[in-house]
Amino acid sequence: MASAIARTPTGAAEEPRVLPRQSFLVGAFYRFIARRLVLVGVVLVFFLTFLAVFGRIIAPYDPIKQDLVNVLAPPSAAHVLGTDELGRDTLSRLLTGSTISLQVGIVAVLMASIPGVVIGVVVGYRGGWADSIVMRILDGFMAFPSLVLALTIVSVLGASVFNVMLAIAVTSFPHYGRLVRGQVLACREFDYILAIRSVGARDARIIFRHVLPNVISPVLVQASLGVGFAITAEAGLSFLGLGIQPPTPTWGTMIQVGFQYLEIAPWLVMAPGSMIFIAVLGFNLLGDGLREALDPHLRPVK
Amino acid sequence: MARYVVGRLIAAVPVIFITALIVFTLGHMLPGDPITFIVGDSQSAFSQQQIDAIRHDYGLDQPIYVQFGIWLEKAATGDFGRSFQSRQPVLSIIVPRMLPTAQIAIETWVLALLIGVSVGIMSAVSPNSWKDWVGTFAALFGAAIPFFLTASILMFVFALHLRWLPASGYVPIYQDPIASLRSTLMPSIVLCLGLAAVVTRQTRSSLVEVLQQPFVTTARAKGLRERVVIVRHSLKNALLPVLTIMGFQVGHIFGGAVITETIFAIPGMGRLMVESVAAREYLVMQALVLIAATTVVLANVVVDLLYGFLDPRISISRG
Repeated sequence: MASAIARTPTGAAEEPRVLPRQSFLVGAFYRFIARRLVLVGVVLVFFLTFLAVFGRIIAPYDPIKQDLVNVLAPPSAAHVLGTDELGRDTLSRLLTGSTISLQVGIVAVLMASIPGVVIGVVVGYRGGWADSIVMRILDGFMAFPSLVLALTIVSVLGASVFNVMLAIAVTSFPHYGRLVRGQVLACREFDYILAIRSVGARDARIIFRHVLPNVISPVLVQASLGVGFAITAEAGLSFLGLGIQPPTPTWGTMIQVGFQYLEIAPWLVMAPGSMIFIAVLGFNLLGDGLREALDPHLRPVK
Repeated sequence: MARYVVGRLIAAVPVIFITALIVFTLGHMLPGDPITFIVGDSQSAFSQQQIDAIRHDYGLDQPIYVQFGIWLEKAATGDFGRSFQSRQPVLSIIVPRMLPTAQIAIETWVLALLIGVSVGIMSAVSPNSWKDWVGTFAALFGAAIPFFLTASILMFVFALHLRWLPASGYVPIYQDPIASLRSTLMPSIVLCLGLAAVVTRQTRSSLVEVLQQPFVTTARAKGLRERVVIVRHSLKNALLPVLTIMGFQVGHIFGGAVITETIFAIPGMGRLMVESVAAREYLVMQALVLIAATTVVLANVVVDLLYGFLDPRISISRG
């Protein structure tokens, strides 16, 4: 399968610059838009982080306080996003839910990327039979559809915030391992690594001072995309009733309940659905921006 | 050629073996005596002697690696044990659930390919134009929009309000093909957006690359119409990487099926997975996970093989 990846054109890196048929100003406009897209990503991620940190404080109501005279109320001045089947304020629940979502997203990515990077660096640097065996194991993990594997892990370990993060991490760590291993393999062949080795530098020094800095930028890109994935996966697990358990408000559980009232109260699904959309879009754009900013091959030649 | 095919298949064996090992290990991480999964709740109905006999029969008195061997051997022949509750063989529970999932998967694939390739071509033929930007935005949105949001909007508008499509349920294709397509249209659209986004991006970048090749200039210099240059000469080359991407996305469709089949009440493998998790039917779960992973591995083998046949640069005679 590695051969199939190798055959795929490396995409954007080799993409030839097409001579624009339009004027300079029009071109500049589009380039500006291109940068603005990254900016949109940064703004969305900041917005989300703000909500996650201050969500509980700025929430107008207690997110788990029921108001049984005011159930399934449509959006109004008192309840901007309406109320749910128990009269709880949707906006407040949404804001409180953002904390869990972002927390799961970031911690799951850390839990996946750190072991992934360590495995990738070690086997990529050592090579040989250990490399072959570890790569087959990672292939094995990657063969599982992520959500199916995460679902199985949570159902075996039991539903809790930590187990959800662990399950998401287990489904994504092989991607980091593969990515880093490929980078290290390429990096190992560079002349300067040979030069450092020839003056007698120890492996640990070569890895930490010279190999790691070279492989870390694709990891950052992958991590940014990974947060978006983890947020979606958490919502998926909670939606299926296997994530974070009620009454803690999470976007996934809000969606699960909301679907039962879709006809009369569509905001109950669409509001948290839109939040997931914003979160994933933000982290995807941020990842794309990081890719362009960090890839030396893509720096425009002046 | 036969050597090439066999070689690719053999390369898939260790991966399938590892997935089986992971599934087996997960099964063993469950608390409790595995014998309860075989005799079920009715444990008291069996005498200790009978339980010991069953334990021996299933090899549960053997060392763990022998157990794995026995389990793998049975799984390879389609014997995943019996259901906890209905006492039916696990495979006979799974097989009827395969059709809806497979049908939706195929529809998703076709839709994603149609949408992704057309938008990708639109983007690639005039890079940096407004059309290109529409394509880029569409791909960004398609990649980020969660299943829930698409599903809720479609269901609200087309099923609950306009009442054009059924909100849930599944009609088998052999019963009524039209009704069957109607019942699977919304889940397929929901699943295909993310895939279409990936296809769009890949089609655009590989087509832009191909259009720079000298043979395209030659074709244009010959006076061929742009349409012919793109469809007949360039697309063939540009779609090869798209094929690889589609192969890698089989897992995405499987994972998505768990969500969409739950939302739209489709009696497929995804919903069976959720049902068996809820009912603690571990043997059904184990079998489903293994079948899903094996399908993904085999799909990648098929893509690899297709690639070998379609790309003249890869010599298949060398194996």
